[in-house]
Amino acid sequence: MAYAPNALKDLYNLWHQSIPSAVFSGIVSSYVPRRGYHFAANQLPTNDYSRQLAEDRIDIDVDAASALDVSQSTTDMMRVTRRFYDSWKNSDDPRLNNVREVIGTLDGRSVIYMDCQSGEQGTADDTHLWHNHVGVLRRFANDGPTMLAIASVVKGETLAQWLGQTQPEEEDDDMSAIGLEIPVSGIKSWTIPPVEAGPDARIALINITNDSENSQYALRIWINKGEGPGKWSPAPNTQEGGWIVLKSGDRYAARLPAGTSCVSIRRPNPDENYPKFLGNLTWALERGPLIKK
Amino acid sequence: MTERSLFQGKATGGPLDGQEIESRFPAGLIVIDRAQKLSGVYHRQHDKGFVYVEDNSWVNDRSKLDQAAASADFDIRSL
Repeated sequence: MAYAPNALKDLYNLWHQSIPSAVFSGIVSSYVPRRGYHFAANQLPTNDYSRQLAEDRIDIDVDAASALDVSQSTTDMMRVTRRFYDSWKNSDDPRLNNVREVIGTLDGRSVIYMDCQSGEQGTADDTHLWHNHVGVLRRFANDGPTMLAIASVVKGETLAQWLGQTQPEEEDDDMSAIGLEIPVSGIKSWTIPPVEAGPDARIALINITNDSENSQYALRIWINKGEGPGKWSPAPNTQEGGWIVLKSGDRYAARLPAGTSCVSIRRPNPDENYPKFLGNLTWALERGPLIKK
Repeated sequence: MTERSLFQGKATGGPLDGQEIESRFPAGLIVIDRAQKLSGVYHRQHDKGFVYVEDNSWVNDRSKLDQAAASADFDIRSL
Protein backbone atom coordinates (compact mmCIF):
# COMPACT_ATOMS: atom_id res chain seq x y z
CA MET A 1 0.00 0.00 0.00
CA ALA A 2 1.44 3.35 -1.02
CA TYR A 3 1.17 6.52 1.05
CA ALA A 4 1.22 10.19 0.07
CA PRO A 5 4.27 11.99 1.54
CA ASN A 6 3.58 15.18 3.48
CA ALA A 7 6.23 17.00 1.46
CA LEU A 8 4.21 16.45 -1.72
CA LYS A 9 1.06 17.65 0.04
CA ASP A 10 3.01 20.74 1.10
CA LEU A 11 4.03 21.26 -2.52
CA TYR A 12 0.37 21.37 -3.50
CA ASN A 13 -0.36 23.88 -0.73
CA LEU A 14 2.44 26.14 -1.95
CA TRP A 15 1.25 25.67 -5.54
CA HIS A 16 -2.29 26.69 -4.67
CA GLN A 17 -1.09 29.81 -2.87
CA SER A 18 0.36 31.18 -6.11
CA ILE A 19 -2.08 29.67 -8.64
CA PRO A 20 -5.68 30.32 -7.54
CA SER A 21 -7.30 27.87 -9.98
CA ALA A 22 -5.12 24.98 -8.78
CA VAL A 23 -7.01 21.92 -7.54
CA PHE A 24 -5.35 18.92 -5.93
CA SER A 25 -5.82 15.92 -8.21
CA GLY A 26 -3.89 13.17 -6.49
CA ILE A 27 -0.60 11.66 -5.35
CA VAL A 28 -1.30 7.96 -4.82
CA SER A 29 -2.82 6.31 -7.84
CA SER A 30 -4.77 3.28 -8.79
CA TYR A 31 -4.35 3.58 -12.55
CA VAL A 32 -4.29 0.45 -14.59
CA PRO A 33 -1.76 -0.67 -15.59
CA ARG A 34 0.45 0.16 -12.61
CA ARG A 35 3.34 2.26 -13.77
CA GLY A 36 5.41 5.24 -12.69
CA TYR A 37 5.79 7.61 -9.78
CA HIS A 38 2.18 7.66 -8.55
CA PHE A 39 2.90 4.19 -7.21
CA ALA A 40 5.28 3.20 -4.43
CA ALA A 41 8.37 1.28 -5.53
CA ASN A 42 7.19 -1.82 -3.72
CA GLN A 43 4.03 -1.86 -5.85
CA LEU A 44 5.93 -1.98 -9.12
CA PRO A 45 8.09 -4.50 -10.94
CA THR A 46 11.81 -3.81 -10.78
CA ASN A 47 11.90 -3.06 -14.50
CA ASP A 48 9.43 -0.17 -14.23
CA TYR A 49 10.89 3.00 -15.72
CA SER A 50 10.46 4.81 -12.40
CA ARG A 51 12.79 2.35 -10.62
CA GLN A 52 15.87 2.54 -12.84
CA LEU A 53 17.88 5.60 -11.83
CA ALA A 54 20.08 5.44 -8.73
CA GLU A 55 17.91 8.07 -7.01
CA ASP A 56 14.91 5.85 -7.70
CA ARG A 57 16.53 2.69 -6.28
CA ILE A 58 18.97 3.58 -3.49
CA ASP A 59 18.11 5.24 -0.18
CA ILE A 60 14.41 5.51 -0.97
CA ASP A 61 11.20 4.98 0.97
CA VAL A 62 9.74 1.98 -0.84
CA ASP A 63 6.21 2.75 0.44
CA ALA A 64 6.05 6.37 -0.77
CA ALA A 65 4.31 7.53 -3.92
CA SER A 66 6.37 10.21 -5.60
CA ALA A 67 4.24 12.25 -7.98
CA LEU A 68 1.73 15.08 -7.70
CA ASP A 69 -1.13 15.94 -10.06
CA VAL A 70 -2.57 19.47 -10.02
CA SER A 71 -5.46 20.53 -12.24
CA GLN A 72 -5.75 24.16 -13.32
CA SER A 73 -7.61 26.39 -15.73
CA THR A 74 -6.31 26.32 -19.29
CA THR A 75 -4.64 29.71 -18.85
CA ASP A 76 -2.87 28.64 -15.69
CA MET A 77 -1.92 25.28 -17.24
CA MET A 78 -0.10 27.11 -20.03
CA ARG A 79 1.46 29.62 -17.63
CA VAL A 80 2.78 27.02 -15.17
CA THR A 81 3.93 24.60 -17.87
CA ARG A 82 5.85 27.46 -19.50
CA ARG A 83 7.59 28.13 -16.19
CA PHE A 84 8.54 24.46 -15.91
CA TYR A 85 9.68 24.44 -19.53
CA ASP A 86 11.91 27.50 -19.10
CA SER A 87 13.51 26.06 -15.97
CA TRP A 88 13.94 22.66 -17.65
CA LYS A 89 15.65 24.23 -20.66
CA ASN A 90 18.04 26.31 -18.53
CA SER A 91 20.97 24.06 -17.62
CA ASP A 92 22.09 26.57 -14.97
CA ASP A 93 18.76 26.30 -13.14
CA PRO A 94 18.99 23.68 -10.34
CA ARG A 95 15.39 23.82 -9.19
CA LEU A 96 14.24 20.72 -11.07
CA ASN A 97 17.38 18.67 -10.39
CA ASN A 98 15.47 16.30 -8.09
CA VAL A 99 12.53 15.96 -10.47
CA ARG A 100 12.24 13.11 -12.94
CA GLU A 101 9.39 14.31 -15.12
CA VAL A 102 6.92 17.10 -15.70
CA ILE A 103 3.89 16.89 -17.99
CA GLY A 104 1.56 19.68 -19.07
CA THR A 105 0.67 21.88 -22.01
CA LEU A 106 2.29 25.00 -23.45
CA ASP A 107 -0.52 25.87 -25.85
CA GLY A 108 -3.70 24.26 -24.48
CA ARG A 109 -3.85 21.90 -27.46
CA SER A 110 -0.87 19.54 -27.23
CA VAL A 111 0.75 17.74 -24.32
CA ILE A 112 4.46 17.99 -23.54
CA TYR A 113 6.47 15.48 -21.48
CA MET A 114 9.75 16.78 -20.04
CA ASP A 115 12.31 14.30 -18.69
CA CYS A 116 14.30 16.41 -16.24
CA GLN A 117 17.07 13.82 -15.95
CA SER A 118 17.74 12.86 -19.58
CA GLY A 119 16.48 16.08 -21.15
CA GLU A 120 14.29 14.11 -23.53
CA GLN A 121 10.96 15.54 -24.66
CA GLY A 122 7.81 13.58 -25.47
CA THR A 123 4.07 13.60 -25.04
CA ALA A 124 1.39 11.89 -22.95
CA ASP A 125 -2.39 11.52 -22.80
CA ASP A 126 -4.86 14.40 -23.19
CA THR A 127 -5.75 14.63 -19.49
CA HIS A 128 -2.52 16.60 -19.20
CA LEU A 129 -4.22 19.42 -21.05
CA TRP A 130 -5.93 20.14 -17.72
CA HIS A 131 -3.56 18.76 -15.13
CA ASN A 132 0.16 19.11 -14.51
CA HIS A 133 2.01 15.98 -13.44
CA VAL A 134 5.27 16.28 -11.50
CA GLY A 135 7.16 13.05 -10.78
CA VAL A 136 9.90 13.50 -8.18
CA LEU A 137 12.91 11.19 -7.94
CA ARG A 138 11.95 8.70 -5.24
CA ARG A 139 14.81 9.60 -2.90
CA PHE A 140 13.35 13.10 -2.61
CA ALA A 141 9.67 12.26 -2.17
CA ASN A 142 9.83 13.44 1.45
CA ASP A 143 12.33 16.26 0.93
CA GLY A 144 11.09 19.74 1.85
CA PRO A 145 13.83 21.75 0.07
CA THR A 146 13.09 19.83 -3.15
CA MET A 147 9.45 20.90 -2.91
CA LEU A 148 10.36 24.53 -2.16
CA ALA A 149 12.52 24.54 -5.28
CA ILE A 150 9.68 23.16 -7.41
CA ALA A 151 7.24 25.64 -5.84
CA SER A 152 9.60 28.46 -6.78
CA VAL A 153 9.27 27.45 -10.43
CA VAL A 154 5.49 27.20 -10.16
CA LYS A 155 5.33 30.62 -8.53
CA GLY A 156 7.26 32.14 -11.43
CA GLU A 157 10.30 33.25 -9.46
CA THR A 158 13.39 33.97 -11.52
CA LEU A 159 16.51 31.91 -10.99
CA ALA A 160 18.16 34.99 -9.45
CA GLN A 161 15.31 35.37 -7.00
CA TRP A 162 15.57 31.71 -6.07
CA LEU A 163 19.34 31.77 -5.65
CA GLY A 164 18.98 34.88 -3.51
CA GLN A 165 16.71 32.93 -1.22
CA THR A 166 18.70 29.74 -1.05
CA GLN A 167 22.36 30.77 -0.72
CA PRO A 168 22.90 30.77 3.04
CA GLU A 169 24.92 33.44 4.81
CA GLU A 170 27.89 32.27 6.84
CA GLU A 171 25.99 33.11 10.01
CA ASP A 172 22.52 31.79 9.20
CA ASP A 173 21.00 31.00 12.57
CA ASP A 174 17.94 28.81 12.54
CA MET A 175 15.15 30.97 13.96
CA SER A 176 12.43 28.33 13.63
CA ALA A 177 10.29 27.63 16.67
CA ILE A 178 8.53 24.41 17.53
CA GLY A 179 6.11 23.31 20.22
CA LEU A 180 4.33 26.65 20.60
CA GLU A 181 1.41 25.86 22.86
CA ILE A 182 -2.13 26.83 21.86
CA PRO A 183 -4.20 27.63 24.97
CA VAL A 184 -7.39 25.71 25.68
CA SER A 185 -9.42 28.92 25.78
CA GLY A 186 -8.99 32.51 24.66
CA ILE A 187 -6.90 33.99 21.88
CA LYS A 188 -3.15 33.81 21.84
CA SER A 189 -1.05 35.67 19.33
CA TRP A 190 2.61 35.45 18.48
CA THR A 191 4.76 38.29 17.18
CA ILE A 192 7.12 36.90 14.56
CA PRO A 193 9.92 38.49 12.53
CA PRO A 194 8.29 40.01 9.43
CA VAL A 195 8.14 37.36 6.72
CA GLU A 196 10.49 38.03 3.78
CA ALA A 197 11.23 41.52 5.14
CA GLY A 198 13.58 43.37 7.46
CA PRO A 199 17.17 42.48 8.39
CA ASP A 200 16.27 38.81 9.03
CA ALA A 201 14.18 38.27 5.89
CA ARG A 202 13.15 34.65 5.39
CA ILE A 203 10.20 32.73 4.06
CA ALA A 204 8.11 31.21 6.85
CA LEU A 205 5.61 28.40 7.14
CA ILE A 206 3.09 27.35 9.76
CA ASN A 207 3.07 23.66 10.59
CA ILE A 208 0.46 22.00 12.78
CA THR A 209 0.28 18.27 13.53
CA ASN A 210 -0.95 16.93 16.86
CA ASP A 211 -1.91 13.70 18.57
CA SER A 212 -5.56 14.17 19.53
CA GLU A 213 -6.17 10.44 19.97
CA ASN A 214 -9.48 9.73 18.24
CA SER A 215 -10.77 13.29 18.36
CA GLN A 216 -11.01 15.89 15.65
CA TYR A 217 -9.96 19.39 16.61
CA ALA A 218 -10.50 22.83 15.13
CA LEU A 219 -8.37 25.95 15.18
CA ARG A 220 -8.96 29.46 13.90
CA ILE A 221 -5.82 31.00 12.46
CA TRP A 222 -5.55 34.67 11.53
CA ILE A 223 -2.58 36.72 10.46
CA ASN A 224 -1.67 40.40 10.36
CA LYS A 225 1.09 42.37 8.70
CA GLY A 226 1.17 45.03 11.40
CA GLU A 227 -1.31 47.13 9.42
CA GLY A 228 -3.83 47.75 12.17
CA PRO A 229 -7.00 46.29 13.69
CA GLY A 230 -8.98 46.11 10.46
CA LYS A 231 -6.34 44.22 8.54
CA TRP A 232 -6.57 40.74 10.02
CA SER A 233 -7.03 37.99 7.46
CA PRO A 234 -7.42 34.20 7.55
CA ALA A 235 -4.19 32.25 7.16
CA PRO A 236 -3.65 30.56 3.77
CA ASN A 237 -5.24 27.16 3.16
CA THR A 238 -7.88 27.64 5.85
CA GLN A 239 -11.62 27.35 5.41
CA GLU A 240 -14.05 30.27 5.65
CA GLY A 241 -13.33 32.35 8.73
CA GLY A 242 -9.79 31.03 9.05
CA TRP A 243 -10.80 27.64 10.44
CA ILE A 244 -9.06 24.32 10.01
CA VAL A 245 -10.42 20.97 11.20
CA LEU A 246 -7.87 18.22 11.67
CA LYS A 247 -7.83 14.61 12.76
CA SER A 248 -5.10 13.18 14.94
CA GLY A 249 -1.91 13.05 12.89
CA ASP A 250 -3.27 15.26 10.10
CA ARG A 251 -0.96 18.03 9.00
CA TYR A 252 -1.79 21.62 8.20
CA ALA A 253 0.95 23.61 6.51
CA ALA A 254 0.92 27.00 4.85
CA ARG A 255 3.48 29.47 3.62
CA LEU A 256 2.87 32.83 5.25
CA PRO A 257 2.45 35.84 2.96
CA ALA A 258 5.31 38.34 2.78
CA GLY A 259 5.08 40.93 5.52
CA THR A 260 3.21 38.76 8.03
CA SER A 261 4.34 39.76 11.52
CA CYS A 262 1.70 38.26 13.78
CA VAL A 263 -0.07 34.89 13.97
CA SER A 264 -3.20 34.55 16.10
CA ILE A 265 -4.59 31.10 16.93
CA ARG A 266 -7.51 30.06 19.06
CA ARG A 267 -9.71 27.05 19.63
CA PRO A 268 -13.51 27.17 19.18
CA ASN A 269 -15.64 28.90 21.78
CA PRO A 270 -18.37 26.79 23.44
CA ASP A 271 -21.05 28.29 21.18
CA GLU A 272 -19.15 27.64 17.93
CA ASN A 273 -20.02 24.56 15.92
CA TYR A 274 -16.54 23.11 15.52
CA PRO A 275 -15.04 19.99 17.10
CA LYS A 276 -13.50 20.76 20.47
CA PHE A 277 -10.46 19.05 21.96
CA LEU A 278 -9.19 19.96 25.40
CA GLY A 279 -5.82 18.25 25.25
CA ASN A 280 -2.42 19.74 24.50
CA LEU A 281 -2.10 21.31 21.04
CA THR A 282 0.98 22.95 19.58
CA TRP A 283 2.14 24.56 16.36
CA ALA A 284 5.50 25.28 14.78
CA LEU A 285 6.90 28.24 12.89
CA GLU A 286 9.36 27.10 10.23
CA ARG A 287 11.64 29.71 8.72
CA GLY A 288 13.72 29.24 5.58
CA PRO A 289 17.22 30.39 4.70
CA LEU A 290 18.12 34.07 4.99
CA ILE A 291 17.09 35.94 1.84
CA LYS A 292 20.09 37.69 0.36
CA LYS A 293 19.56 41.29 -0.67
CA MET B 1 5.43 7.72 -20.09
CA THR B 2 1.90 7.57 -18.71
CA GLU B 3 -0.09 5.58 -21.24
CA ARG B 4 -3.13 4.04 -19.60
CA SER B 5 -6.82 3.44 -20.03
CA LEU B 6 -8.98 6.55 -20.24
CA PHE B 7 -12.73 6.74 -19.99
CA GLN B 8 -13.98 8.99 -22.75
CA GLY B 9 -17.36 10.25 -23.89
CA LYS B 10 -19.57 13.21 -24.67
CA ALA B 11 -20.52 15.56 -21.84
CA THR B 12 -24.19 16.41 -21.37
CA GLY B 13 -25.05 19.53 -19.38
CA GLY B 14 -22.86 21.77 -17.27
CA PRO B 15 -19.85 23.82 -18.29
CA LEU B 16 -18.46 21.21 -20.72
CA ASP B 17 -21.78 20.48 -22.45
CA GLY B 18 -21.30 18.92 -25.86
CA GLN B 19 -17.56 18.40 -25.51
CA GLU B 20 -15.75 15.08 -25.74
CA ILE B 21 -14.21 14.66 -22.31
CA GLU B 22 -12.10 12.07 -20.55
CA SER B 23 -11.53 10.74 -17.05
CA ARG B 24 -8.80 8.50 -15.71
CA PHE B 25 -11.31 6.88 -13.39
CA PRO B 26 -14.51 4.98 -14.12
CA ALA B 27 -17.14 6.89 -12.12
CA GLY B 28 -16.60 10.18 -13.88
CA LEU B 29 -15.20 13.67 -13.47
CA ILE B 30 -15.56 16.31 -10.75
CA VAL B 31 -15.25 19.82 -12.16
CA ILE B 32 -14.29 22.85 -10.07
CA ASP B 33 -14.55 26.50 -11.10
CA ARG B 34 -12.86 28.40 -8.28
CA ALA B 35 -13.38 31.78 -9.95
CA GLN B 36 -17.15 31.30 -10.18
CA LYS B 37 -17.33 29.21 -6.98
CA LEU B 38 -19.16 26.47 -8.90
CA SER B 39 -18.67 22.74 -9.01
CA GLY B 40 -20.39 19.59 -10.16
CA VAL B 41 -19.94 16.01 -11.21
CA TYR B 42 -20.03 14.43 -14.64
CA HIS B 43 -21.27 10.93 -13.89
CA ARG B 44 -20.13 8.40 -16.46
CA GLN B 45 -22.98 6.34 -17.88
CA HIS B 46 -22.13 3.54 -20.24
CA ASP B 47 -24.67 4.45 -22.93
CA LYS B 48 -24.88 8.23 -22.44
CA GLY B 49 -21.33 9.42 -21.94
CA PHE B 50 -20.99 11.82 -19.02
CA VAL B 51 -24.09 13.41 -17.48
CA TYR B 52 -23.70 16.55 -15.34
CA VAL B 53 -25.14 17.07 -11.87
CA GLU B 54 -24.44 20.44 -10.22
CA ASP B 55 -23.07 20.09 -6.71
CA ASN B 56 -21.43 23.20 -5.29
CA SER B 57 -20.32 21.44 -2.13
CA TRP B 58 -17.08 20.44 -3.81
CA VAL B 59 -15.73 23.92 -4.37
CA ASN B 60 -15.63 24.86 -0.69
CA ASP B 61 -14.76 21.54 0.92
CA ARG B 62 -11.05 20.83 0.74
CA SER B 63 -11.21 17.61 2.75
CA LYS B 64 -13.97 16.23 0.52
CA LEU B 65 -11.91 17.01 -2.56
CA ASP B 66 -8.80 15.47 -1.02
CA GLN B 67 -10.72 12.28 -0.35
CA ALA B 68 -11.92 12.20 -3.93
CA ALA B 69 -8.38 12.79 -5.19
CA ALA B 70 -7.21 9.82 -3.14
CA SER B 71 -9.94 7.53 -4.43
CA ALA B 72 -10.09 5.53 -7.61
CA ASP B 73 -13.58 6.69 -8.57
CA PHE B 74 -13.53 10.25 -9.89
CA ASP B 75 -11.03 12.40 -11.70
CA ILE B 76 -10.84 16.08 -10.75
CA ARG B 77 -10.59 18.93 -13.22
CA SER B 78 -10.24 22.65 -12.63
CA LEU B 79 -11.95 24.99 -15.08
